[in-house]
Amino acid sequence: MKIWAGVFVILVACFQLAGAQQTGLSGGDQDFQVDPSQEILIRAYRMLANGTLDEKNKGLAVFRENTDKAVVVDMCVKLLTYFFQNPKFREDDETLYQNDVVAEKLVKILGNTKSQKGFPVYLQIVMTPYIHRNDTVKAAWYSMAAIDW
Amino acid sequence: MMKPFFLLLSVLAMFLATGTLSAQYQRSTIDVPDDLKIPEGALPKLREAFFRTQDWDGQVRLVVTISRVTNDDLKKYDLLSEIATWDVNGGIGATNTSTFARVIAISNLGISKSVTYIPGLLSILNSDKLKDTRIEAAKALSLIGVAADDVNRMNIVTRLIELLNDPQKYNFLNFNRADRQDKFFNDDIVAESIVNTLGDIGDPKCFGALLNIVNQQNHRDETIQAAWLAMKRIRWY
Repeated sequence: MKIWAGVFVILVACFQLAGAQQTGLSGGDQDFQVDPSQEILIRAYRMLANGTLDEKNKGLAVFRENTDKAVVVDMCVKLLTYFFQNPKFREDDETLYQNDVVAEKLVKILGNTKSQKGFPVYLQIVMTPYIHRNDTVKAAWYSMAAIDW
Repeated sequence: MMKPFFLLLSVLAMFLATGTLSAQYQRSTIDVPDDLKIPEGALPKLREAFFRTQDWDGQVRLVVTISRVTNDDLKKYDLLSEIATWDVNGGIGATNTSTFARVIAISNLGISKSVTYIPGLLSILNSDKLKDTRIEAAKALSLIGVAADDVNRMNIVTRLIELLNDPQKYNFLNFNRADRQDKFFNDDIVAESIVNTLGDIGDPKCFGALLNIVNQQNHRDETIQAAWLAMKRIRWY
């Protein structure tokens, strides 16, 4: 009986994992359609998602130069949703603080696009101000106000 | 032996929760930038977010955001009216809407000065169980009534006088003025707001109702004092 219960739990876990990957909940870069000339954007995305602070800043620079590309909007939204909402955020933790500085810059890049796609993530940030710095929250407010509807 | 301990613990938890909530309310209104101007296109999304969230702190933040939407017509006020009257019967357990969010929405209806919202505000004053929302509705009616045309002003004044004279509402026949625990005590704070609204509007028609309050002495001292002041403010010409 216990074995069957174990098998059932493993199966459920596998299905959930598959579902998450299908809906893009993993925050991975496999959903983005970019041509080979834009491969640099994928690299920037990966750096922003999992890189060091230096790499993240390089990624930001790449994004900043490519705000006219639609995929950058999608990437910013996904990054802010899955990599820059830390429930354990504390201002006195240097790593978390610096990560949130990157989040603020990402919000500003997304805000400059005036895209409606940014709305849910801005809302998410302003609704949970205790897991961000004030500057990030403020950037989200003003980016929300700047959306071109 | 353990029962008093658990009772004490639950009272302490309630006390802490109340403190946390009020701190959150305060923070909610503060962290929305004063100069924020949200475009009208965001209204449907904000509406969706408001009715989806169960977080009272978030609801307050969203109502403040809705109030910052810039538009010339009444779309944002229509949404705020929907929120204000979302659960007119209110009360603990009967609603998932934050009282403070509703108070902010009602306050904005007053700022709109639009007569469209008079029926909704009167229904809050008549049927809402929450003291704070009723007080805010009276204040909003004051702002609208002062700016309204004769017909709508008369509509407000007539209904407010009816409420003050109605023994089922704000004419407390067995009110013990000395007892702050009296069941009418909170209702009488609302009555005081209604009296102030009548004073702001200053229509002579309310004189009789105000005179009743000072004669019958079945209200708190504050309400009776407000009635005297309101009588002074009546515009007789």
